[in-house]
Amino acid sequence: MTSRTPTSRTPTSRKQIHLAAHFPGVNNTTIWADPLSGSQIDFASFEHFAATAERGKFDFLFLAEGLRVREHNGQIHDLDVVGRPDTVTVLAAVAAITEHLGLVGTLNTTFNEPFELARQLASIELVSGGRTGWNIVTSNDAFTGENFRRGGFLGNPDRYTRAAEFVDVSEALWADQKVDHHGEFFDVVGQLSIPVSPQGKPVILQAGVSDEGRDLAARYADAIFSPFADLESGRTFYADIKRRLAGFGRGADELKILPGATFVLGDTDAEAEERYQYERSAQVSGATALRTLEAVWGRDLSEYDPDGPLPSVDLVVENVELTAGRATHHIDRRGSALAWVEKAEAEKLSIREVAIAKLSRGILVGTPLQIADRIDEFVQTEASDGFILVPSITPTGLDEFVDKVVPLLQERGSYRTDYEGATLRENLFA
Amino acid sequence: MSIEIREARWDGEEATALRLAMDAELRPRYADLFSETTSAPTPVDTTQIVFTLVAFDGDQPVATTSLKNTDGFFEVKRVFVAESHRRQNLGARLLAEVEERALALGITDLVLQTGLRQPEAIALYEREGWVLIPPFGPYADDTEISRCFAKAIVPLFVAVELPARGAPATLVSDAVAAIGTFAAAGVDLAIIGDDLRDAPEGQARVDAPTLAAFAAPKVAGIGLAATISTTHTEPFHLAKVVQTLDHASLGRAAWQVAVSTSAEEAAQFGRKPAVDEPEAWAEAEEAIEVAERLWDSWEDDAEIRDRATGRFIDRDRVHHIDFEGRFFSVKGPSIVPRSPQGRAPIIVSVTSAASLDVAARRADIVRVTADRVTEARAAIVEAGRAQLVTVLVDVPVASGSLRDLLATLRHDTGADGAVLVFDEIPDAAAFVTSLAPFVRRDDPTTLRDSLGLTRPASRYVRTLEGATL
Repeated sequence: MTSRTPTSRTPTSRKQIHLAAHFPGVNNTTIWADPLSGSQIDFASFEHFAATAERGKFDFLFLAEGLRVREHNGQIHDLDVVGRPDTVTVLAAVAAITEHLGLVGTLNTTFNEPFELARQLASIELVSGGRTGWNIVTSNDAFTGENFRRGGFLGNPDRYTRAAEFVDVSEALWADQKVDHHGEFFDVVGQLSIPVSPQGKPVILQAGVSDEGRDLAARYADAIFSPFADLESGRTFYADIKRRLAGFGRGADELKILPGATFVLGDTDAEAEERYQYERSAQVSGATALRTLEAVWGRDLSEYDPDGPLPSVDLVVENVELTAGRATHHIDRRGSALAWVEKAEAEKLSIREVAIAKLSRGILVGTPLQIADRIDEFVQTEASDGFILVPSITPTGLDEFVDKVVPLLQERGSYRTDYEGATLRENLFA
Repeated sequence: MSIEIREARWDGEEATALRLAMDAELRPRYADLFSETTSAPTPVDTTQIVFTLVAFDGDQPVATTSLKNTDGFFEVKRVFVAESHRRQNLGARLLAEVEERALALGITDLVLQTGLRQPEAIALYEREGWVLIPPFGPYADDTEISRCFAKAIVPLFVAVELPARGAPATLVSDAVAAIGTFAAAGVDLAIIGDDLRDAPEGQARVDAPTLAAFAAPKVAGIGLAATISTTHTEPFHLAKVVQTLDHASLGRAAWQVAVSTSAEEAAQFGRKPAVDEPEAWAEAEEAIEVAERLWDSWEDDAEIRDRATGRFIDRDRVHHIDFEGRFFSVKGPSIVPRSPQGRAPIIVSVTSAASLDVAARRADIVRVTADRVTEARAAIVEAGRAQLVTVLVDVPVASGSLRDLLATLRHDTGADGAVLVFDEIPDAAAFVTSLAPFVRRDDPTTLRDSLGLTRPASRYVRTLEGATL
C-alpha cells in the first residue's frame, strides 16, 4: 500500500538549516530593563528557554561562560546583566527536563583539568543519553586567573597547543580507555569508568577566528560558533574553513558553521523597524555608550554628554585595558577611535548613536517571512549551515521565533519537522 | 462531659487510687504467670518521675498516666482509664497531653512497656502511631510478656547515601528512582557519594554533582547533597557548582566535603603528589572558607535593575573575597548570584582526627559512626557550635532491623538522626515501611529549614554604622 501526498511542499533536496538557542548572556545585547525581562539565574528561566528551543526542534541550547565577573576601570561592570550559573551543573539539570535538545556548554581549557572536565562532560553524556556538546574556549587572561589556584596566564601560541593536548586527552578518556598520558602540559593517568556515549563523544564547538583558532576548529570541531553573520564575510569564512578541513583529512560536511545572530521580529516591516529601534536604544543606554567609548579611548569619559560629540582622538591612552573579563579586546585602539570619530563626523552622530552603530552586529531584522528567507539564503548559498540565535529577552525571547519563523522554514523543506535522531550528533549531521 | 487534665503528684491521692484500680484489674490476667510475691509492681523511684497527669470529670479522678526517666529513656508509665470512662478516647487524649508536655521539655522520643495480655492497650498505642520495639532497658530480658513501644515525637533527621555508581545502562534511572522513593518516604536528604577511583569491573561511575543536578528537577521534597573533593578541584569551581545545584533544586542543595589522598587520584590530575590526610583536610578547610565567602559575595539584594541609572546591579553589594591562604588565593566574586539558601549546608564525614576538627568548626551536618558521637559532640561544643550542628550516625543498612534501630537511635547513640549508607543503589521501596514512623510528614521549603537553620545574611552586608555584620 503506497500513498502519495500531493500537498507536500517539502522537496528533500534543500540543504537543511541547523538552529541553536543561545541563552541570553551578560552583555548589552540582553535587555534587562524590558518589562518582559525575567531572571537570568532562576532555573525556571532555563526550563522555559530550553522547552521553547525543543519545541522549535533546535539542535541545541548554548551556554556561554565567564569565570570572572566583568570589570571596567577597576570596578565591577554594573550596566549589563551580571551573574550566571555553573555551565555543567545547569546543563545536567536541563537534561532532566528535555528529551532531544542538545546541551552545549562553553568550558575553558585554561582553568580546568582534562580528567575532571572530561569526566563532567561524560557524565552529562550519560544522564542525557548523548546530547552533550562542548564549546572549547582558551584564555590568556590573568584577570580570570586570579580566581584559580594556578593562575592562568598563557601566551597565545601556548593556549592553542594546550587546548589541543587537552582535547586529545579528553577524547582518549571518552573512549573509556586506560589513559597514560605524559605531554607538554598534562600528565594524566586514569580511566573514567563511564561507558562510551551513544554519540561516541561530545560534539565539539570552537569559536576562535584567528589562524590558530581556525586550524584547531578544522582539526577537532564538529561546529564553529562564528561571528560572521553577513553574507559576504560568511561565505568567505565558510569557504576557508571547508578548505582547511581537507588538510586534516576531513570531509566538507563534517563541520557545521553557525554564526551567532540576534533577531528582531515584527508582523510588518514597520513593526520590525520600530522594534529594532527600541531594542537598539534599550541595549545602548547613555551610560553604556560612554563605557563603550572608554574601552576604546582607554580613559574615563564620564564627564562627556552621551548625546554630544565624540572626544578627540588625541585623548586616546594606548596600552590601557579598562575592560576586564570580556572576550573582545581592542587591539589598535587609536585606529578604532579614529574610525569612530570619522563615522560620527560624516553621519552627524552623537556618542550614543555611534555606540549603537558599533555595537549592532549580526542582527536579523524583519517579518517572519523575511527572516526565514534570510536564514534560508545563508544556508542555501553557503554562508553558513544555520545560526546560533541570541534573543534579547530572558527567557521568552525565543518564543516568537519558534512560533512564527520555524513553521515557515519547515514549510519550505529547509528545516526538520521532528528530530531525526536521539543524540546531538545524529541531529547535527542528519 | 467535660474532662480536665491536670498535673498531679505521682504519690498523690488521686493518682495512687487510679493505679491501685489498674493493678486490681490487671492482676488476674497474669495470675497464672506470677506468684503473689512477684505480681506486686516494682516500686517506682519517684525522683525519676518527670510528671504525672490525672484527668478529672468534675472533681472525680478518672484517668492517669506519668512520664518517667528510666535510664535516659522517657517512658510513659501506667496509662489507666477508669472503667466508667472508657470508649471516650480519653487514653488518646492523655497520650497527646504527654507528648505536648514532653516536647515542651525538649524531649524527642518516648517509649513505654505494656503486656501481651493487654490487647486494648496495644490497640490504643498502635492507633496512636507507636511502634512495637524489642523490650528496652529494664525490660530487655523479658521478651515473653513485655510488649514495648516507641514514638518519635520529633521526627528523626534521616539521610541516605547512595553511590554514584552502578550498572552502566541503568545507573542514572535507578538512582533517580531510588531518590524519588526515599523522598516520598519522608527521607530528608539524599547524599550522592563520589570518588574518582576506578569503578568495580562492569560498573560505571558518574560525577556526583551532575547526578544530583539531573535529579533536582525530577524529584521534589528531598535535599540533594553532592560529594566534591577539595584536593584536586578548584574551590572557585566547586563553589559555583553547589550554588547552581541550590538554584536548580530551589534551595535543597548541600555539599559533602571530601578529600582525595590516593596516588591514583593524584595521577589523574598530575598537578601534585598525593597528600596525607591532615594536609588534605587543612586544604579542605581553606576551600570551605573560600566557598562560603563566594556564596556570600553577592548580597541578596545586589540585583537592582534600576532603569533610572541604567544599573543592573548595585556594585557595592557584590564583593571581591580577596582570599589569601596557604593553598590558594581567590579574588572573587562568584559568577553566581546568591542562591536560595544563601549558603548550602556543609556535610563532613568524620574519618580521622583531622576531619573531626574541620567537621566541628565548619560543618552543618557531622557524620560519625555510633562510637564517635560523644567525641564529635564534645568537639562541636568546644568549637562553640552546639546549637548549629546536626549530628548523624552512619547506619550500614545490613545491620539488623532498621526499624528497631531507628526507634531508639537517639537514645542509644546521642545523634540527631541517621545516614543510611548504601553500597549499591538500593531498591528503596523495601525501606519505606521501616522509615515511616520516624520521618517528617511535612515538606520543608529548603534543606536549611529541615535542619532548623535560618537563612544566613551575607557576611559582607554592611550595617547602618558601616560595620560588617
